[in-house]
Amino acid sequence: MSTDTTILQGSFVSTGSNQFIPLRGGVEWMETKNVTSQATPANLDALSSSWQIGMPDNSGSFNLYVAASTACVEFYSTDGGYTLVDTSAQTSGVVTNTITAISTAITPVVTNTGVNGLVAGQIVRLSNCLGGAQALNGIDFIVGPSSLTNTTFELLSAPQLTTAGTTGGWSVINYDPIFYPRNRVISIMAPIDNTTSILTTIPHGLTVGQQIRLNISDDLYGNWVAANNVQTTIIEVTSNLEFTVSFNSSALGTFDFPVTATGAFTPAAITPFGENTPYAVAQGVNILADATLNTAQIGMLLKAGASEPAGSAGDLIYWKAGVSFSVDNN
Amino acid sequence: MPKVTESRQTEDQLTRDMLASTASFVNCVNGFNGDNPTEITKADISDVVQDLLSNNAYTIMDNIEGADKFGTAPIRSAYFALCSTQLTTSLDSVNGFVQKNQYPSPMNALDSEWGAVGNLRFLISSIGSITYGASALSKNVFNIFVTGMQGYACIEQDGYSASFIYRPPMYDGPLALNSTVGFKFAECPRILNDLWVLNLRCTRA
Repeated sequence: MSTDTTILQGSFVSTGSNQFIPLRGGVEWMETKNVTSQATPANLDALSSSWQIGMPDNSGSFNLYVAASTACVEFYSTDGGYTLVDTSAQTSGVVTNTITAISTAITPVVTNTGVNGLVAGQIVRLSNCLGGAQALNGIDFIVGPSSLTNTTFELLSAPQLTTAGTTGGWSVINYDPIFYPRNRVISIMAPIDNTTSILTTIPHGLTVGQQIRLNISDDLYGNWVAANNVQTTIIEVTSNLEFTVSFNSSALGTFDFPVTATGAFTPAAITPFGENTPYAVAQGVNILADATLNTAQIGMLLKAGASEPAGSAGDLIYWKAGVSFSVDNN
Repeated sequence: MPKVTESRQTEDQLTRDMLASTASFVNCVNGFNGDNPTEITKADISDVVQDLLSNNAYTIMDNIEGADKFGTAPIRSAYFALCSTQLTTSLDSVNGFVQKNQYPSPMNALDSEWGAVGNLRFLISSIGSITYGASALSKNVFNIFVTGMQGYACIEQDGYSASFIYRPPMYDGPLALNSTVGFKFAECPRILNDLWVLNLRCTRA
């Protein structure tokens, strides 16, 4: 094989969900063979498929089995197939200024015009919100499963507002900063016995034994500014949004997110900075869980489905990918 | 086709992204553009310098003594502030900003340096860190990484710093039609002391 040709290959068993295949950069073509379907083909199964550079995202050429004629037909689709992905390429979401109200419920519920198209677990960023929700502008929140309709969605981890928000905008955030561990904005903190529970606005991704620093420098946080720069250890992870640290905050009173703020301020945040090794050893957890990790990936996203390259659950699929000597897509 | 400069630029981008992910942040709050964060001001710079001093961060650059030259001003010992070229107009407007051509000895300035305010010397780059649409008014937020001595580092695997590899066409095939060029490296950027690096977030004036 000459040098300028890069061939990668592999296989996977479909889970029935879209499949991401990590690849080295610069891949210009990819092929898949669904050997499970080839052995026992059903109508409109994609027995094989391919993609090459120049085809748009989410497209591909498919070799579909037609049961009526017991033969295959070539079919090109731009609705399903292959999508090159580089997770380090982060683009701004489109701001949709459709918010008409944000409620004062314990978990704030946003009302919007039109169809929001959101699903639970997505991250949204508020902006341009007026009324009592101005302090939430520029902060990311996770969409909760309750109250989710075409015209409403709840901000699962947001602090409770004292005055309802009025008009404003939101955008979907499809990316996270690529390096782990990441700093996170604190929504709620509460003393529990001699420890402190912390709720972050979006999933924290942290584990027991990691050390974090509290960054609470803005005077709007009152007594809690005394906890600025405190370093503490995570002793329990309650959920993907909540964890408990060893810091005793009982003397600081109630933590109030400055929901009435109308001007600029620095929201309280956590910064992960290391591992409490003795504690991690005692707990039997990974002492290197704090390691800095580049989570960005380059690869191909294969769409799931019997007529798609990632197949149906249980299908065994072989794939090849490579680089061409020359590409001329004029 | 990659260039030699792109390999080092990729290192810079990865270091930038690491700092954007993990460094503690402080919003500029003393400006007047009505956003959160606001544009950068002298008061915001003083606050972040005070934080680093309180955290016992060493400055990176020594002071530049004053000289008997028209239009110059002495420069304090300083931390580095790494930011986007898109902030130059905002920096020019900061009270007390000293352009590097006003240093008593401009040869002490770095190529990428734009100027100084108080105890910060600003280094600019076209790939400076930006968080898109992240302000209260959905404007871009510019991350200014203010660092003291040894605040962060790039740790290379042994023998695996950036390599730029060129293979002439004779290695390609029988007809020697294609040459190849590329780069590779294995290293990890890492904050060494989180108290010595702060991300000062701002919007544009």
